[in-house]
Amino acid sequence: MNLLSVQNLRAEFFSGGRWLEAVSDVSFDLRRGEILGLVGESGCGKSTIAYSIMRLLASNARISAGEVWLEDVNLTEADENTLQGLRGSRLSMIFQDPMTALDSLFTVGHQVVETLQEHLGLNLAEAQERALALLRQVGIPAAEERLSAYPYQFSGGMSQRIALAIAISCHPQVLIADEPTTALDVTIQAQILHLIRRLLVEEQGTGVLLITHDLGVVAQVCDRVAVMYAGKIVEFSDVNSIFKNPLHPYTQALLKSLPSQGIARGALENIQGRVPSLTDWPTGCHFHPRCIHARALCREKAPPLRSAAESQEVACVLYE
Amino acid sequence: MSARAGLAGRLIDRLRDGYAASRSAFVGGAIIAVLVIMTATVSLYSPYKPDAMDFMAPLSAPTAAHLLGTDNFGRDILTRVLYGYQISLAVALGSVGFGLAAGVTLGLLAGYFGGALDNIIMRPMDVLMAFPAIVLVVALTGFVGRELAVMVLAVAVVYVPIFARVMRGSTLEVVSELYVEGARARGASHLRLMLRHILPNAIAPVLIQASILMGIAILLESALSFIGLGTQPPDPSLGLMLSEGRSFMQQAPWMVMVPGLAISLAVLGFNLLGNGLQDLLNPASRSAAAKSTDLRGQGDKPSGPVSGVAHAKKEGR
Amino acid sequence: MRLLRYIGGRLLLLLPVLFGTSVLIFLLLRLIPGDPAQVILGLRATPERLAIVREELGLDLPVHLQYGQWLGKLLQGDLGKDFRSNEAVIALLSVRLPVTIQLTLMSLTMAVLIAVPLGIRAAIKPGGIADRASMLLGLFGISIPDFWLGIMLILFFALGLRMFPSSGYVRLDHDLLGNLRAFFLPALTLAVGLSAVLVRITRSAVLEVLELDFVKFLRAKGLREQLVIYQHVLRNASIPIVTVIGLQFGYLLGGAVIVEEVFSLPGVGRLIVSYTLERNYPVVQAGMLVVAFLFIIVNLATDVIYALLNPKIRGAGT
Repeated sequence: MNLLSVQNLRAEFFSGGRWLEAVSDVSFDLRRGEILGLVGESGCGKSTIAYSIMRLLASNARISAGEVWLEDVNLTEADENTLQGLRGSRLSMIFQDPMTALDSLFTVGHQVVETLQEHLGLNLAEAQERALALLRQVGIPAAEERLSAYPYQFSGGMSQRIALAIAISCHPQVLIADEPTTALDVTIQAQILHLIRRLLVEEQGTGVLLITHDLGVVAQVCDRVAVMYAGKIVEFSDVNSIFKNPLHPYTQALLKSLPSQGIARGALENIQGRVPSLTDWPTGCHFHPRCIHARALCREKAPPLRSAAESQEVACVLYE
Repeated sequence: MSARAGLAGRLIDRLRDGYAASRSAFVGGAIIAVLVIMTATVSLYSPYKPDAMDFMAPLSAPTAAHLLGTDNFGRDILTRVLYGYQISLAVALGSVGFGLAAGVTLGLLAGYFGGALDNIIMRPMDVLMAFPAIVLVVALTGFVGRELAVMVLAVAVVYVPIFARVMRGSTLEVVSELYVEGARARGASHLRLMLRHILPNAIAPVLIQASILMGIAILLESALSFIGLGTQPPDPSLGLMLSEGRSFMQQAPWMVMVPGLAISLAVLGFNLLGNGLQDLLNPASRSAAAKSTDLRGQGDKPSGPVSGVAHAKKEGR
Repeated sequence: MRLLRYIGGRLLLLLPVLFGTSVLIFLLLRLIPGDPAQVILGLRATPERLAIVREELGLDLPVHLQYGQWLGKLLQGDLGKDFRSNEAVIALLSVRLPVTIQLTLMSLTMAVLIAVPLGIRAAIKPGGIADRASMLLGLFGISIPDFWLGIMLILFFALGLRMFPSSGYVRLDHDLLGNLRAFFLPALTLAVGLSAVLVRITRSAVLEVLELDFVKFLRAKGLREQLVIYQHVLRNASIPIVTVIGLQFGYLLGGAVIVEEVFSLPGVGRLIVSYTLERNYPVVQAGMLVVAFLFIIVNLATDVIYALLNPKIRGAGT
C-alpha cells in the first residue's frame, strides 16, 4: 500500500535569467512501514525532491511537472491552508543541522507544545503532558526539567531528538528525513536512526524517506534504496541486492568508494571527472562522460528505469 | 502555480533593484549637480539681489516677476534660496572636509596599529558620540561664537568620530588581506602600507558616509540658523528664512514652504547619492529583495561536496 | 546571576564615557572667548557680582582643581546655579525633564507603531505596496528637516483644520486629554524621522530571519504562518530592532531640541537653546549633562533588553 507517490516530478531553479532543471522526471512510491533511502551526492537534487514533496521550495524554485500524492491528497495541487494542515501532522520532516532547526529564543517545551496545539487542538496542560511523554519517548534524560530549557543548552544529538519528537508528535504517515545524521558523530547517528526505525516504522507503520549521501546509513536502516545522479534516479533496488549486485555503473562506483568515507567528502576519486553542475548537464545519460562503459548511444539516449533483476530497476543501456 | 507568480514578482524586483541602485545614485548626483551649478552662478542670471527689498511687493505670492514669491520685506525668495544654498553647501563641504581628513587619519591609525593607540584614539570618540549631534553643535556655536567658521568646525567635531569609526572598521577588514600582507613581506614601511595599500581599498564606505553626512550638515546648518545660533540676518540662510517665515505663515505660506522644500531637496539628493553608491559598491547590502533571488540550494549545506546548485550560482554571475 | 554580571560589565564600560562627557562639558565653559563671568552676567554687571560668580565657578583656581570642585558638587546633586535668577539649576531641570521624556517616549511609541508593522509587511512581500511605502518613508523621512515638518503640521492640522493646538504645554496631571493633544503634533514630527530609520532596519532584520533554518522547520511542522511571522520571526528580528532603537534615541533627544522650540514646549531641549542664546552657560552645561546622561542610560537599558531577549546571555533555562 503506497503512502506517498511521486510521479514524473520535475523541479527547476531560476538562475542567470533561465530555469535550470534540478530534478528531471523522478518517480517512486513510499510504502507503509518502510524506510526508503534516497542516495546521491550533494547537488544531485535529492533535497529538492524533499522540498517539492513538502511544497516548501524557495521562491526561486518551482515544480514544473509531475504530481505528488499523499494517499488521496494531491500535494502539488493543494492550497496553502491544506498544506499547512498536513505538514507536521500527516507529513513531517527533519533536517540536517539540528542546532539551527530550533528557534533559539523559545524553550524546547514551547516548540513541541505549539505543534501539538496547532494540529491536535489540545489545551496547554494536555499539550504539555504530551510533550513530556514525547521527550521521554525520544530518550531525553530528565525530560521534565528539559522542557523549560533553551536550544543552546542541548547538544546536536539531543537537538535532533527534540526535532524528531516534534516531527512525530502528531503521528505522521510519512517522515522525510533530510540527512538527519550527517552533522552528528557515529554513535549518536546510530541512536537516532534506531529511534526512527523503532518509534515510527515499527510502532506506527510510518513510511520514511531517508535522504543521505552515506551508503553506510543506507545499509544500517533502509529497506529499499533509490540512487540518484544529476537529477535522475539511476537505480532502484531493495537494500540487499544493491550491495550484493549493483547494476548501474554509477552505483558500482559508489560502492567501490564505500570503505573509505562513504561518499561524504570530495568522494568518488576513483571515478574520473566531476559531478556536473546544473548549468551543464550532459545530454543523454547524465553519467556518460564519467562512465567507463559509455558508448556513443549514451550521449543521445537516457533510458528509463527498467526492471533488470528481481526487485531491481536500473536506467542504463547495458541492461536494455 | 503560486511559486511562479511569486517568482515573477521577485524577478521584477531584482531588475528594479539593480536599476534602482544606479538610478538612485544618478538622480541624487543630478539633483546636487543642478543645485551646485544654479547656486554658483546665481549672481549671473538672477534679476534680484538677495537683500534687495521691494516695499511695493511685500508678501507677494508667486508671480511671473517673483517665481516663488517674496518675503515680508519684498525680497525675492527664489533668489534668497539660491544664495542660501551657498551657505548650506559651504558648511557641508567644510565640515565634511575637515571631518573626513581628521576622521580618516584617526581611524586609519587606530585600525592599523590597534592596541593602546586604538584605545587612545577611539575612547574620546565614544565621548563625542554620547551627545546628539545637534546638542553638541548648539553648545559649540553657543559657547564659542556664531561665525560661519565656528559652525563648520562644530559640525566637523560631530563628524570626526563617525568617520573615524567607519574608517577604523574598514581598515580592520582590509589590513589582513593578502595584498597588504604581501606588501608588508616585501618590506614596505608603515606609512607606505597605510597610504598606498590600505587607504585606497578601505575608503569606499567612508565616501558613502560622506555623502550622507553632507546632507546631514545641511540639516544641521539650517537647524542652527533656525534657532538663531547659525547664520545671522540679513544673510540668506535656508533655516533663517524658515524661521522668519513662521510669523507670516498664514498670510504667506510660501515663506515657510519654499525654504523647507529647498532643504529637503538638497538633503534628498545627498541621501539618494549615498544610498545608490552603497548599493553599487556593496551589492551584498543591497535591499534583500535582490538578495533573496540569489540562487540558493535547498538544504544542501556546505558539509557535502560542492553542490551543483552552488556551481550554477557562481557561473550565473 | 549571569544577567547581573553582564549588566555590571556594561556599567563598567560606561563609566569612562560618563567621565569623558563630564570633562567635555566642563571644558566648554573654558572655550568661551574672554571672561566667562563677564559673558554670563553681561556688561552691566557690578564688580561684586562678578567676584561672586568667579568664586562660585572657581575661575581663579587652576583648571584641574576647577574641574574637581565642579565634579564634587555634581556628585552631590548640585548642578550649579542660574546666576541671573539665582535659582538652582536642578529646580529648573526638574520641571523641564518630564516634558522631554514624555515627548521622546510618545514619539518612540508612534514610530514603533508606524514602522514595525510596515517593515514586516515590506519584508514578507518584497515589491508590494508596503515595500514601496517603506522605501518612500525610509528616504523622505530622513530627508525632511523635522523643524520644517513641524511647521507644516502646525499649518495644516493646527491652523488649518484646528484639530490640535499649534503650540503650548498642558501639564499631564492637570488635563490629560489637553496634554495628549498638545504633544500629538510634536511627537508625530519626531516620529517620522525615527520611523524612517526603523522601517529600514525592521525590513532587513525580518528578511534576514526569514532565511534562517528554524523558519523552514517551523513551516515544515505546519505552524500557521501568522505564528511563524508574528511570534517567532518577529521575536528574533526584535533583537536588532531594539538595538537600533537604542542607538536612535540620541536622534530623538536631538530632535527634541528643535521640535520643542517649534512647538514652544518647555523641555530640556528648549532650555538648552534659549539659555544658550542668552549666554546663561551654567544652565546649558547642566542641560547637556542631563541629555548625555539620558542617552547613556538608554544605551544601558538597550543592552539590558538585548540580554533579556537573548536566553543565552540572560542564562535562562534549566
